[in-house]
Amino acid sequence: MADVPRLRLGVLGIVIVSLFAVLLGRLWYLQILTAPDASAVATVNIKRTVQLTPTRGRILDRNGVVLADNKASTVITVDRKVIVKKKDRTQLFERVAAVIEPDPAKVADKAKAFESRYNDERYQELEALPVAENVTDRQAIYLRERVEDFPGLDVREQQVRTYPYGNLASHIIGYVGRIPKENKELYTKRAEPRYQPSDIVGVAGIELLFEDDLRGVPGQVVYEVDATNRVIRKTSEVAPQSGRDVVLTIDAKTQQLAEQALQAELEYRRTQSPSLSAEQQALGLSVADTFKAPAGSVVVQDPNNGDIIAMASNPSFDLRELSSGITRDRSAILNCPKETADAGLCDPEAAPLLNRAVQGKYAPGSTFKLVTSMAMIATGLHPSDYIIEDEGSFQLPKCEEGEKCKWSNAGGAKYGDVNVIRALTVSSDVFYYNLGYEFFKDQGIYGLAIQDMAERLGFGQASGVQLPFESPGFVPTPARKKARHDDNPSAYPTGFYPIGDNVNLAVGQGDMLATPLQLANAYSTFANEGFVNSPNIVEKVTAPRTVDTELGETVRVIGQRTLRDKLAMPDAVRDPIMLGLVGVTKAGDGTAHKTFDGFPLDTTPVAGKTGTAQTGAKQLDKDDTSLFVAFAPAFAPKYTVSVVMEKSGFGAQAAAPVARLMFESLLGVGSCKPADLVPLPEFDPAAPVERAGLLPDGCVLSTNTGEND
Amino acid sequence: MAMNLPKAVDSLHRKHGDPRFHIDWVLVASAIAVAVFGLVNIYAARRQWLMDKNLSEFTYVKRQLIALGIGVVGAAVVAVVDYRKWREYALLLFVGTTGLLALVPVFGKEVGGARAWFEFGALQLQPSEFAKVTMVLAVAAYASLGRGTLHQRELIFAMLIAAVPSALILLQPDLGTAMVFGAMIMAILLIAGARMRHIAVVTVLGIIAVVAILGTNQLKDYQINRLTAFANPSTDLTAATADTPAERNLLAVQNNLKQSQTAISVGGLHGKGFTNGTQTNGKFVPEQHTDFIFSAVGEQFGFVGSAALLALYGLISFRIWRTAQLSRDLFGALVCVGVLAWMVFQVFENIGMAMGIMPVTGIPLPLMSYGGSATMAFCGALGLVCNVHMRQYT
Repeated sequence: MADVPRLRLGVLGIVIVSLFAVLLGRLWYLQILTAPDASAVATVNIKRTVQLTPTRGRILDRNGVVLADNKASTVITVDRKVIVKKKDRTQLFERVAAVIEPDPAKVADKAKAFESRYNDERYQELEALPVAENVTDRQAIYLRERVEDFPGLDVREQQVRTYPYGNLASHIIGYVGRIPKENKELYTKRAEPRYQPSDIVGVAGIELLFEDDLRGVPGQVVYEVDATNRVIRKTSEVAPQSGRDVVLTIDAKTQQLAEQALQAELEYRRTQSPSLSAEQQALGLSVADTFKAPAGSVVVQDPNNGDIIAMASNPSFDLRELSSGITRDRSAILNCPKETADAGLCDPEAAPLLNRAVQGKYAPGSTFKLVTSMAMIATGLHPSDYIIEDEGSFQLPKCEEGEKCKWSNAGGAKYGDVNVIRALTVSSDVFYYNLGYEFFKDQGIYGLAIQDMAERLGFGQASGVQLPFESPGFVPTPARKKARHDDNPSAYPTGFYPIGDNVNLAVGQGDMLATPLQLANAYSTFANEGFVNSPNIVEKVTAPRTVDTELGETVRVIGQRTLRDKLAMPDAVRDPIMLGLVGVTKAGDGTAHKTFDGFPLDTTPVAGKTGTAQTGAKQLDKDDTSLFVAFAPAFAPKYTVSVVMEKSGFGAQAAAPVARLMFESLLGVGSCKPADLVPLPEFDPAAPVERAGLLPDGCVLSTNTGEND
Repeated sequence: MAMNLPKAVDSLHRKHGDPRFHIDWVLVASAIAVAVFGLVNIYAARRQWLMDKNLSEFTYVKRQLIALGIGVVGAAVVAVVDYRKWREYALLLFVGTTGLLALVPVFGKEVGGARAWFEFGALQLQPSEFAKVTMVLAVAAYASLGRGTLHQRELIFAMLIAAVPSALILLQPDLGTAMVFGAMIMAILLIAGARMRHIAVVTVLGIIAVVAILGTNQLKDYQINRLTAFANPSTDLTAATADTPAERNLLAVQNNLKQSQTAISVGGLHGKGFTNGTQTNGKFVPEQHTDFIFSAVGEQFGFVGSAALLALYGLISFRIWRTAQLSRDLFGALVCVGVLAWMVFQVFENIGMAMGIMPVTGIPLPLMSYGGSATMAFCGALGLVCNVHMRQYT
């Protein structure tokens, strides 16, 4: 024992004690002094949130017909972990594509589409990657039976948007899609409710404008995950709340009829050709040139409250196609931007996605004479019994060199003595040319009276209807024309507003532009004695329905909305104009008289106005916009109908027959009844259902070969 | 049966020095406590990983339990045979294990860049662990010849003995184990009576050697990263900027250290509770059942549990140190001191590494870390200490 050196052992002991002290000190530092900070680090490390998508609200018509719904769809997903390696991924994608894609030539493209989804940041990284939606039952069964052959593959159910009636009301309903890349921030930067980059959102129509109601409130599950992103356990779950339903003012059956009538008339116009004058034939224009009639729109409105009952725009598109996820190429054809049009893939004049009822801007032509007539009497420029002699043309008294000095009636017609009533009925341009001239000459007294009246009727501003991208149109004034030119000299080469512009404006030509909805709304204002409503296409928003109700509780009613102050409408203004408009359909020389041949005008008078607006630099007859705006019954108005058809000729010949058919059906005065709605089968890209202008039995479009306006 | 009184007294007398009555139960109990705590933490650290792979959660616990069983039996065998008898076989055992070490580069299996293992089917053996035991025996046997004084020539010879296995281990390369050898030999030489100035010279030479090894590119990049990462815990490296394999490796080591310290930190005072460690369950700490087992302790059992573990190690250290003092001869004391240095160095290095104050080396935490060879060898070493304690009177 004497051998053991106690001192040295003691030294060793001290060293050991101090080593333990160091460890204890460090432990104290880490676990007691700095613990809270590290706890935050660890929380960030391990919490992952997965969003639960709420069921989207439905869109219904005024009678409860469901126009946009949801259904369970079979979706194929791939576990991201098994496809981390590019080689594994490519192999699996190619094999899955071969099952899903029936066309062997397209399998490689499909596999590439999967790959681009894999790299698309909009798909949540923690979730399995959805590679194919709307898989058929056969494909789903095939894959389910062979899960061992497809490692990581899952076939699951998911809610997808459905549009049972294809292209019915497609422009109104709009459609859904992934958050558009270009305005991603609009969604992802929003605080509550949150959006994930992979979310489905409304991108057009009601789907877009009522996104906040339709979407609902997403739920979320918070998971604890490990270092390899594998889920350890669920820490919390908040269930999603379904979206609210949106009930439209649209009557789906009437909507369908409006679409059918418009399509049928456009097709008919394409078989017709304008009659050409001897001079035009001498210029080399052929009679064989038929109307192009590429597009048009119909608006049916309740003049008493501004509700829109139908709003058709042609050409239309199939919502089922868009909801099933369309290719970039197909989307380009539907949108028809300049590059695609230049490549000859689509016709920009017939771009389907444009809702012409609110986005189309048209010279209103003679339908604008309502405005000029009201301005004349209301300002006191002339009394209603003011008469001029219409000798077929109007000549500016003082004419500057190089400017237009003479305007003529359509076809050079002479109407003799006309007052405002007859000027409307026969559509005397000369009467209004004169007014346009006088108003401009005497603007010191009356101001820009035609423009003022147009604006008080709602022209030149968005109507406020619940649809996106609405055009305000344009009411030309000297100041605006100059501002427009200063702003963009290449598009608007002149900022000068000669008196001739006002002459043109008086008959709705020149720079004046209006949407079909604005026209309907202006005539409705006249019909309802001066109330300028902001038209509604949405009636109300309701809570999600419960198990035993068709419709949930009403969350909010939109109600009648005022766009502008009520317009004073004394009898002195209203009566003569009403007589003139009724005469259009009823009087022997009324422009739409032949169109309304056989319509019970004695019991159900129709007050309307035809319009034939010249377009384009050449102002060819075959390029004329055909317009007709009317309300009926004239003295107790229930419906206003505005029809605009591009490059279709005379208003009385193309647009008016469509309006007549709508009145027959709406007022029940003929044999035309709207057909029942038939839900369409699943969309098949190989065989798109053409909902051509097949009119229901008993519905016949009248023909009118008259040639005046 | 009637008692024969004189015979009973005689028996009592003999039993006074009987080794069977001088087992250090405190040492045994605290060692068992650490081992059980080790099993608990091996289970928690590997549970999720095993469940993910659809394997039994107890796979590693079972294997460790087998190693411990063999270790306990081995320790008993070691303790039963008088340690002075072992001294006679010290040279033979030492030559044997050194021979095995020499064979490792030829027949060994490469794991993680180092060739340190023999593989016999499912069984893997790490000869360097057993070499620790035999080296202690051999050096203690030689150094105790001087009976308390160690002259320069004997000092050099003793160091040469240790240098053979150390060099073989360095070649594997296993720098960490070589450092354990260094600590052990230094402690033994100190107690064996080496002069303080010799100790000082050897220490300086050791430091120069380490610097030289680091400076002459003898080590691979990953080894340098592991050794130096604790000193620069955060460089500007990110997953995106780490281009070379060395940079990626450095990043991995830094990340490993960060995750380990985070796990220990979040344990706080009381810990998150058994199997409730999110860092542990989340497999954020690599090698958590072996080298980084302390991070599992820290997260689940907090400061209280970690300090208790340190206390147990402290208690074991004290018992070994005390046995060295009680030893009947210098050889026994030197054996104890070698084992003491072995354990303390590994505890300090391993826990220090997990807490970010020591370099990263692959040194197990004695009786805690998963690993058969280390566990069995250390059990054997404790058996030697017990042996010395048991025979303090005979």
